[in-house]
Amino acid sequence: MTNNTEVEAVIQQYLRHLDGEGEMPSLDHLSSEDRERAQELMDSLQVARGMEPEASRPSLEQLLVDTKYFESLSPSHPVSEGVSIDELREHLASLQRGPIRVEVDELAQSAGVRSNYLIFVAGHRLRIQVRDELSGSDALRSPDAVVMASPVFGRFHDTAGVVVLVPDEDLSSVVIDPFDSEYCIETPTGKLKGPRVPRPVLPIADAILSFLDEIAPVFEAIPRLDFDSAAGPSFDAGTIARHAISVLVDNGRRARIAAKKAAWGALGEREADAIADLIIAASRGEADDATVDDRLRELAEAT
Amino acid sequence: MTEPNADRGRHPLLADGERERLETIVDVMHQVILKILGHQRREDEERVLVGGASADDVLQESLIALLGYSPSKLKESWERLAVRIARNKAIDAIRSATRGRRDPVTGNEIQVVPLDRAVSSSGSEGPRPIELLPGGRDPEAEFTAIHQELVLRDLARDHLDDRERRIFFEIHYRGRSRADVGREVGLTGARVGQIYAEITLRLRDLAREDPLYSATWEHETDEEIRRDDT
Repeated sequence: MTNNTEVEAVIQQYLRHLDGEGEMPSLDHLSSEDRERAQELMDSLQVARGMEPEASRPSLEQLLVDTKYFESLSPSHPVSEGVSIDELREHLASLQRGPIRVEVDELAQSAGVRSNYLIFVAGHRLRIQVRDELSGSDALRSPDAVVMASPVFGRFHDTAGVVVLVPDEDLSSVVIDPFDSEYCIETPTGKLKGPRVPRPVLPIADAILSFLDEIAPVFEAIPRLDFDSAAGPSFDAGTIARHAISVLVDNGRRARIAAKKAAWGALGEREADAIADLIIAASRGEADDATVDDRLRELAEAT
Repeated sequence: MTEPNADRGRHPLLADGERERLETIVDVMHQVILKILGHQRREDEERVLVGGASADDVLQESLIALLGYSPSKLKESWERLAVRIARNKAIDAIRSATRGRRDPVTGNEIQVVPLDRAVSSSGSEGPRPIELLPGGRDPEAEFTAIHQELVLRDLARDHLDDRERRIFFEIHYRGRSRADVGREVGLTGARVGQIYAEITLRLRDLAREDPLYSATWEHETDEEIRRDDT
């Protein structure tokens, strides 16, 4: 029967000893099984110290380039039997977010991190995990998909998102960002939320496009309103002006600041007519920005 | 893991299906070299010794030496040989970097000696070691031990949150004190120690379920290889 508490206490005492704060722990009081566990853990500390857990090394290709062994090197895995790099490029051709570069993620593979491909798009790095072993796209909706992705972020902090996909016809995918795998306090409830998949499962191009729209939206230019300056605006300026005034009057009734309540409540037909005239003048090109400012000031001072 | 049937003219470690084994061997060699060369760099720099050799250079030399070893002469596992080569190459690199350098106090030439032959320098006019190297452990045992630590590292990445991972890495691998780590994560040293102890037990339990953790390496004799061929 093992006793984690006793073993943990021994480990803590061993750490104190290594920090120069106490004696070597005795294991005599432990059962034979716990003694073995404790000794194993202490030996492990001795082996591990001096290792560098986050060191990356060159890939085998980089180490053997220009040597006679290079040609004999079998290709690195996983380049997933289900998805070739050409197939992936074909699916991403419709992405329309500027140049896209797709390459085999040898750096992650040499670091022992699961990532099949690396994509550079819209100034961001995305890593692709091809999950041959998953039974279908439904499996991507489970929080396990998040767990699959989190080691990538731990090793490669510059990764904007991990695309976890199954090699079906659409390359169904879900994109995980660095925060999805963390426990977070949700607003406004204040509740603690665990790892979750907040995005829908989509074909890979759609999944990536949706994610890029989230982290790097492309804003379209607001189209310019072109009026026929001779005929004036095609809308009823008077109706619009009166509606705008009535909204302000209603807001003024609910205002708590006395001056605001008084000022907005005083707006009426006279102001609506003046603003309607101003809209028509501006649409005809008869009032520029400075003129609009001056007339609004005159209207305010006259009220 | 036993020796594969070697493709004619191709090194056994470069044979089809052996890539993963070779990656593991190189991972362990890398860590052996890093341990010997010591932590002298920031994360984003290579370790560079006087004279310009780096850990990656030593790793490359070690791998080429390993692949250059004739399979017909092998009397041990490739894994054991790999550790021996990595150790020797790393020590050679340090010796090259220190050649001709003298102790500023005694004026004696500085030498590098293994830990189990360390010479106390107090009151001695003999050579003073500048580096006490891990020694004495059987190379096969060291390969297994380092490989197991790499499996633990991967489990830590997959199963620990950011703070737990940081505590584990800093104490387990980088040898920092509990108090130091506690200051960084906003906890007392005692609490850091508790967390580390709990983590290490948890990871060990997970490791026991991982077949990679319990992998062993054996040397298949020529007779056994020929028997498999028939």
